[in-house]
Amino acid sequence: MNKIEFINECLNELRSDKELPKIISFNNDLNLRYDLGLDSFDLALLTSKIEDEYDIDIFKNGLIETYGEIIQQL
Amino acid sequence: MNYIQIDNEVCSYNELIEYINACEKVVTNPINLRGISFLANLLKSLISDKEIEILHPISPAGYKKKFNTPYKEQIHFTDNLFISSISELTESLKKCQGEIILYTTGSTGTPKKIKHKFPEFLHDVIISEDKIRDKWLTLYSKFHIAGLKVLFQAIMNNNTIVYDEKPTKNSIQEKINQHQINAISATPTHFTNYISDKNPINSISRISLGGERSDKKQIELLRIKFPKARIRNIYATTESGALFSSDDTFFSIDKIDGNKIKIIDNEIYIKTSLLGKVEGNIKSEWYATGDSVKFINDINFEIIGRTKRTVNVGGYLVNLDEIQNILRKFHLIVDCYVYTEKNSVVGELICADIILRDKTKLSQFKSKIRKEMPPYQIPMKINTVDILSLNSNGKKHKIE
Repeated sequence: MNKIEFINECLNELRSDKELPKIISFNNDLNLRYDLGLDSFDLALLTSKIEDEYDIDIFKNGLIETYGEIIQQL
Repeated sequence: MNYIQIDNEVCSYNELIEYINACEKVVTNPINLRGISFLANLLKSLISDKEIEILHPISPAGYKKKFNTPYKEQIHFTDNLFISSISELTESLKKCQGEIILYTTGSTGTPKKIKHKFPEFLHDVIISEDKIRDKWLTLYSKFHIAGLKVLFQAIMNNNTIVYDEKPTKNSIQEKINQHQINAISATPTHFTNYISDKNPINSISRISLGGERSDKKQIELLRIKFPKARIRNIYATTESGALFSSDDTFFSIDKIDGNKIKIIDNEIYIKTSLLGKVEGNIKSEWYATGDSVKFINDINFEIIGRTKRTVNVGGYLVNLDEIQNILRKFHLIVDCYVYTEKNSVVGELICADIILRDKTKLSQFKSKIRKEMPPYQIPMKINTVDILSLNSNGKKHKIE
């Protein structure tokens, strides 16, 4: 699984836990909170999963708001 | 004939006395002694009025790292003490001026030294006719205060005692059968981890619970598994020993001596004069235990957990023990351990190791907690496990 597939899977898992539908196609402008429905705690878990997998803290340098910004960090 | 089994070595009380009499010297800070040698060394040190330091299993390298000084065995030659019988041993223990040094790690991990004088250390040992036929099984470490307390409970009543410091799902039942055990001393999580079925065992008449909070689910499990047992839920600290007890999950304030124990701002305080000598010299009259409580009515209260287990999660103060208590009420959960890891978004991310009744129901469980718990209390990272990791004191801790 490549990094993008991993991120997409994590995001869909978070959405599934909140009973939100799966997203088939992500684009860089998707806002994590308003478009993907994630709150701070979801983002906290996302950053933890990414850190466990790739040893990168995507929020280390400040707030990440969009899908594109996550991909950029990786 | 009654006996002691420790580290898979067995001796009768008469053999123990022979061992004690054969000791010409004692090691007052042993790290290599096990089994009957450990026990004889402990007892001989005490009745020779020596101060003995009980160190958890630790290597010389570990000792140096922990205490910042190289380990050096301290050996003392003992006077020509001769014990002729078990009753003479117990009388000697009641009169000796020996001391036991224990270490607590609490929640911070930094060991704190606590010195307990004999014979005061025996204050919560009950010596009576109805205890004479007890045969104890303990799952505590022999280095832990609870493991030592049950040891002295057994010795002072000349009981059989068996240590099972590395229990498994079958070993409790096996040892009960093998040794005709009627009394068990363990933490609630010991029972949750190692009781594999609900088939009742009628031979157990006594259960001592301690070391951590127990809840209704655990007490109910014990009542089903051991229907003839009197359950004693004991609140104790390493600094003081046992302080009060009940046969349920809650304790009653009117059964507590207000001159010795107080609850201030929902935290338990102990009169400093009741404590062993605590490193750091407590100056105030009352010692804060760090254990927080919640009153369920005017008289009864439950122990919630450690005040130090309160963390800031996204701006909300949460107590991890309280979250644990909430999760354990869900039917889908057998048991759990809640902890945190550092997180750049919310400060601390709540995590949980959980034992599910049915592993296929994880999604259902996650859905349920999301509906019923506020977001800042929900463990975001959940690991399903078959067994919870216990530290050497039998208490839950994070799986490494």
